[in-house]
Amino acid sequence: MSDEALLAALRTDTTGTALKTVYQKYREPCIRFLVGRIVNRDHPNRQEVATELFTEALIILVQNVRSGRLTELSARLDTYLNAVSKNLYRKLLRTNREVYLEPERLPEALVTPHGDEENEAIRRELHRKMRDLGDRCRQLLVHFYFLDLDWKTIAELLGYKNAASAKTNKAKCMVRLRALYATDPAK
Amino acid sequence: MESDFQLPPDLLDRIDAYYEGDLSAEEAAALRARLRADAELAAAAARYEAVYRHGFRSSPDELNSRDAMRDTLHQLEASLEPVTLGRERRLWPRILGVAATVLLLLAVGWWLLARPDPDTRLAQDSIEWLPREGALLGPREDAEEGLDAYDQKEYERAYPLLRAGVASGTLDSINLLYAGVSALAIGQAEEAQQLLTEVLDTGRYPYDEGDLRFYLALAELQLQNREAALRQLQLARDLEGYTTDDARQLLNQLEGEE
Repeated sequence: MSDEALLAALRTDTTGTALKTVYQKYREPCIRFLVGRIVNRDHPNRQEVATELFTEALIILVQNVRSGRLTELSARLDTYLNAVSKNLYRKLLRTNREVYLEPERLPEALVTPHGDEENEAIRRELHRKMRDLGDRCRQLLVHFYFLDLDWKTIAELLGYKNAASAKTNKAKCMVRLRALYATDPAK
Repeated sequence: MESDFQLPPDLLDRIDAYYEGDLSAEEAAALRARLRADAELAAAAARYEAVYRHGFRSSPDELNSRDAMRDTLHQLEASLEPVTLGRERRLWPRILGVAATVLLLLAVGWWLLARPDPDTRLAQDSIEWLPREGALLGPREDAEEGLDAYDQKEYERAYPLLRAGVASGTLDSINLLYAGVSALAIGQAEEAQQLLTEVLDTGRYPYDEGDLRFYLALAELQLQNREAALRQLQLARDLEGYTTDDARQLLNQLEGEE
């Protein structure tokens, strides 16, 4: 089954069949990649760590596909799985833990936040605005915020010249996003 | 949420920078102080940062559903054979690869003399740029001039730079694959054959094996070694890669001629 067909199957997967298909298809090459090229050779239980990273990366990808945030891939599915896994491993190293734990902490709020009741509405509104942003900006924001990839990886996946260029474009997308809030207020 | 968050652009930029981790502790403190000094500004900032704190985050439902997916995948993993790591599994193909290379070196002189081969042209026509994808986005270094040249299909420039980068250790050895593609593109089939065989023999890149074998087949064809090329293509057609379809097509073409 091609990546496009798998992506389509994941979008409507209510039984977990597509999830298992993708897992079985990419488990071996991705775990080999992680053990061979990403996880430090002195890391205890390298293969178990690699398996866990691959599992978490797949879950993140699947959720973004199912939510409609990630509508297309600009590289092969296994390249995405490797990229997300690699970034998860970087986080793992930073946190000095044995296993990956999500989610990452946000920085402290600048202003004391109010209640959580509006959070879902904020998410829905942003989702709507991101659709209106156009493919290029939406892809950038999804790759950065939801796939949580580093700029260099994003640049390679999305075809920007380098990390700085991808980051600059993301800043422009944020300006456009704000403009969308200005011209099309929250409903 | 207010329509435009009612914040000056410079403040919006500072909040963006804060959430990207680009502000120093002092700068973040200054930003907080500025917001504390103006209640209206603070209220608008709270609305804007809510986009960061809640909009650009997975919903609680999504986070909860991760547990169910984790359970499904853990159960699946428990039912599967452990992954055999590349080095153990790749020993036999490596031996075959070395043997094939030795045979090839012995045979190539005979082939060159005995059979003026039109396959060289076919091989040259089949050479295409192989998308690099940052070597599967694996470890990278800063010395990227060779990679840039390759990405721009400037093969003459890319070839020595890629080789030098790998030799000096600034580039990962998978980049010999792209050096091999570059060598082929500039007519250095022998060097391409040597490089691609070298990468294959390491057994470190099972993911790229299909592409490695396809380009090695092109090198063999250019060297007028049809049998070796066919062998590589027969292996490549069953391996997933960018060039799988090309390998199948070329194999059909060559087998059809026999």
